[in-house]
Amino acid sequence: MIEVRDLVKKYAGVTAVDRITFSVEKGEIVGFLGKNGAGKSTTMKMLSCYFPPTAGVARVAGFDCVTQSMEVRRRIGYMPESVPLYPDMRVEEYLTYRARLKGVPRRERAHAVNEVVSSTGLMDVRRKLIGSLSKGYRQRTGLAEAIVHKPELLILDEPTAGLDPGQIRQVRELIKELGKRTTLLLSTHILNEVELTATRILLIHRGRLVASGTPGSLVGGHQTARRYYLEVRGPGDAVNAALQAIPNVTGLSWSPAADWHGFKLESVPEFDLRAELAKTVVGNGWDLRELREEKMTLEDLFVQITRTDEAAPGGGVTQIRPAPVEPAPAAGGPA
Amino acid sequence: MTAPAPAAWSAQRRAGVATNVAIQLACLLAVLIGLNWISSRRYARWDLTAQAEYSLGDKTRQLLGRIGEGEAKYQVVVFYAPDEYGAWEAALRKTKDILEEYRTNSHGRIEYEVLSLYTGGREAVMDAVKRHKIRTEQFSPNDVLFKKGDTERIVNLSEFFQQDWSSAPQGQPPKLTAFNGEQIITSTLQALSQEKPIVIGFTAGHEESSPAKAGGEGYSIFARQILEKREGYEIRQIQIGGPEGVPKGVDLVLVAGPLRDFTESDVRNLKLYLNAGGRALFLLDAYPDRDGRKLVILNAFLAEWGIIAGHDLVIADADSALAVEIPGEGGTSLRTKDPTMFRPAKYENRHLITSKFDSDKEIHFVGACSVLIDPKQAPEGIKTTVLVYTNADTFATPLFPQVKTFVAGKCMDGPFGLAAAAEGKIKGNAGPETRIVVIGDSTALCDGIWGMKVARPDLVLNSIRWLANQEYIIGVDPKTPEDRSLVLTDSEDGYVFRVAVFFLPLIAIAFGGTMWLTRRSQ
Amino acid sequence: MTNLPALTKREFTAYFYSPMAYVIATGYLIFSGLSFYILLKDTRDANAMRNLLTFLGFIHTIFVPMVTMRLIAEERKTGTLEMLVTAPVSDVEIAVSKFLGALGFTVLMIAPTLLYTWIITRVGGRPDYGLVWASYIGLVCLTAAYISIGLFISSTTANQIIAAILTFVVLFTVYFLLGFFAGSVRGLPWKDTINWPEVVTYVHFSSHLESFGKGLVDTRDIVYFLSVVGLGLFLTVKSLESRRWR
Ligand SMILES: Nc1ncnc2c1ncn2[C@@H]1O[C@H](COP(=O)(O)OP(=O)(O)OP(=O)(O)O)[C@@H](O)[C@H]1O
Ligand SMILES: [Mg+2]
Repeated sequence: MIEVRDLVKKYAGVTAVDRITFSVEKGEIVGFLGKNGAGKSTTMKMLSCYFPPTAGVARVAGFDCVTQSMEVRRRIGYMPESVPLYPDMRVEEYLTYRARLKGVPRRERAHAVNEVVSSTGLMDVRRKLIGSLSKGYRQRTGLAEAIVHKPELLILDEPTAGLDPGQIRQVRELIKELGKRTTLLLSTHILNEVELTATRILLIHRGRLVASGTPGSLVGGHQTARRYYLEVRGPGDAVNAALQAIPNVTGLSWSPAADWHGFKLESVPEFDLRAELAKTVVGNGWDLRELREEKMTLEDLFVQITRTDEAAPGGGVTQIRPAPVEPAPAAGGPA
Repeated sequence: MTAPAPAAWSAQRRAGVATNVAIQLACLLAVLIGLNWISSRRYARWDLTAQAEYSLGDKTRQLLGRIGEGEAKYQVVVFYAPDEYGAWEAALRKTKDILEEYRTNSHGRIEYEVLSLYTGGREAVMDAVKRHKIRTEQFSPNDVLFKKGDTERIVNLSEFFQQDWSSAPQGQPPKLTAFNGEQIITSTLQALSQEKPIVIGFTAGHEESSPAKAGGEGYSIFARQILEKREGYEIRQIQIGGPEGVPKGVDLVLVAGPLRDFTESDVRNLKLYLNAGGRALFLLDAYPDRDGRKLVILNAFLAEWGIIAGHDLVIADADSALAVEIPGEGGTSLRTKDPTMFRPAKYENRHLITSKFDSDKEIHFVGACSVLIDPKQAPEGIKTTVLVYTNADTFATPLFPQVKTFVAGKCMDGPFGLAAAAEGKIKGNAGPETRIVVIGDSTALCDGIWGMKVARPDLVLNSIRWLANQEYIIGVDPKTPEDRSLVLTDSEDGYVFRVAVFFLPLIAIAFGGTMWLTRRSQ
Repeated sequence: MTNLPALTKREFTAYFYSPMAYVIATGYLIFSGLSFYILLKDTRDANAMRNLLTFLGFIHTIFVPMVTMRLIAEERKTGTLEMLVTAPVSDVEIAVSKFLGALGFTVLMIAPTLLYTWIITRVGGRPDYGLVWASYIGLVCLTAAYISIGLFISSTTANQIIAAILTFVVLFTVYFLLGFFAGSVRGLPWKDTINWPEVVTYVHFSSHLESFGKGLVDTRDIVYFLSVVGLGLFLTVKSLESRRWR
């Protein structure tokens, strides 16, 4: 459905999208992830033919987004990030007008509008001026507009931004529902939303595609170490030494306490060390209260990828955001 | 992905599109310039005004059609001298408008400029004076110069229009009652376009009004200003009684109010001239026999052509008589109706000379004699027509000097003719058609009457044009501008202000308010 | 062009939804009403339209920019242009519909001034209706040319105020200032083959309004104004289109 090759977009001085290549098959629901300013919206605008790439190819349904933009535009539904609407029109009026522009035949128009109005929960505000709607309802109007002509491809830029939790859940359901009929490309900052809805994730960072795959495979593929957490009662130094002696342990940090010491451990990803750890602790006669493997989440992955990459050029940039897991380099931690 | 590798969007392709757009723009500009160029040469113009004010007559169009490409351009310069009342402003505007039509219809062969003598800037005027090599001493304010190469004609703007001061409100410019601009411009241009001027021979030797004599009975204004300067005729004074007869090169013979009868040799020569397709215009009067002398020979000669000129005086009724100012003692003047000065009642529209005249036409007869026709007396091949008629209440009396009263049996009762034409070829004439016009009045065009500003040369001019084969000029209609002036009373003034400045904008506000409120509501 | 009616309807009705449009129309009617009143008093001519036309041509250089400034600049600012150009409508349709919408509104805005003729008859004047119609044909042609210029300028910026001021400057120049330059163009290239004063006079809008004011409808003037409309629309389309490839 979507075919993007070496796509580049440069704004004056800024390279917003830098040689992205990916493709989306028919029927996929693809989540577009990336930090603020990563280039998600820019890519989507190129796909929806709002502006052309600086270089590279973007095709939708086999049509080039620059040279065959009309064919592309006929086939997509697009909701920009800012959800621009005409404030002086009524909701229904606006949807009817847009349906007409998008080639919904006159006889089906009323029906199509009714359908999207009810599926996006706009029933109560259909006669209201768009300018007087709340942000959430505006968002829904934008969504309704994008789907009113049943496009082959839906491009939604942060469709749930600004919605309340209940609405988010509704929209999520709607997206899932839509996903059954159309191909979907959506960007979001709510990671578990992607995990819940997307069949595939594209993670871009600083304009480059850094990861792509199903949520599960992505996390798996990016795991560079296994992490464990233990709480042990015993002589701290001894426990520390014993744990460090276990083969394949690559890092260890110890938070000393009066009673129960907490240990964070990292090992090579190939082996599961939980049995080994339990054996070592119990074998030494110490008490083991908790032992768990800390699974990597999408969020961790997101942060990991985006941060490492960011820290690299800057060199020793102080971390502003508190990391949930301390990476455990060779340093033994405060003894 | 089996699709062939699509071409990437790149800087080169972008440059290609940019070039393409630039080429498109260049093409469009070329097309638009071409379109405008063609349209400025081939165009249509619709005159939507009620009176078709700007539509030039057929005759003018014919003339403009004949003004060829190869010739020198025609230049018209108006030296406008505004007066304090703004009396000429309307006339100037109409003149400008009509000159613009000449320019348009001649496709730029005729150019014009209007110079305002007092307000237009000295340099522009001096520049024009230099460019057109104008001898300033020869000029008077409001003169209009027509120029083609080195030939030039000068007409005064005052001849273009008639004004009515009497109905103008205090301090306001007078109304235009007639605008003859087209007629005058066309005939002047016509005169300019002629290679060789048409020669009018004024007969002498019978105490005629002389083109050389100024004032009183003299014909200098009509002959010099109108015929020579404006219309471009050449004026000669000729003797026709001599052995050589009517001199060679004379295109038409004009007999202007003779007081002495013609001799036998005069009429013999005239007859020879006319029989061979000559042209003659006779302006006769009521008083030729002041000294008991009648124009017996001349009248008999005219009767041979079927035209009967009466030995009488036409007395008009009060309706058609003209009110004139008679200068009294000590600069006073008396306004009175003179029954010997009158307007004819009817014109023969079937004859070309009077085809465009209607009964409102301002032509005056002063001390006129009757002119009738007798087709039976006319030779074979000659057709006679009465051109101008009096009304029924007018009579012609031969009873000098007791002329004021109608005497049954002696006087001729109206309506009767005041002017007649004869035309056709008599047997044996292999040349052009013979044409004769007799008008029962010569006084109306003498300098004295011009001084009273009531002289209207249209009938005589048209006769001359017809006689000189210049029929195309006759068809040009003078136009009577409609009076569209509007003076507001105080209450009307308030009304206009209220409606235009308050009420109409209020409609927009009210409409907007309603619209906005209904829009806001659910 | 199948979307043209829908787009045009939207552009036209959008004016009626905005209080700004009524403010503009009211201001326009006050200005033109005052001009009419003063002219009628001053010239004492029932054919006031002939003189009024020149005034209206000038007043339109102020009010037409206010009408056209929002056409594209506003959509660019609020982002709705993104919605418009990513919908399957051609740029030609967008440009033409915006032109027609603005023209429709302006013609409606002018329409009440037809009542001036009625006012004249109410106070006993006898206007020449042919002249009135010709004048309005001329005014609409002139206004169409104005709008196409304003539309193009609106398409080049996201700032309505800049669009309005720029449009006014351009219109004021072609309507008014060029008249002064016509006589004094010197030192231009090819002055032997091209009669520059004549070209400047030809481009000058007022010179094409004159005949209409007299009651004459001339194809030359109409062709000229339509050419300006065509050029303005072409530039607007290219300006919209440039976003797709620049
Ligand atoms: N119109 C523009 N002019 C210049 N730079 C721009 C423009 N729009 C975006 N950028 C820059 O391009 C980069 C990518 O922006 P983009 O909007 O695509 O990010 P995003 O991934 O959508 O971010 P967000 O999550 O905040 O929406 C950013 O650095 C941004 O500053
Ligand atoms: Mg974004």
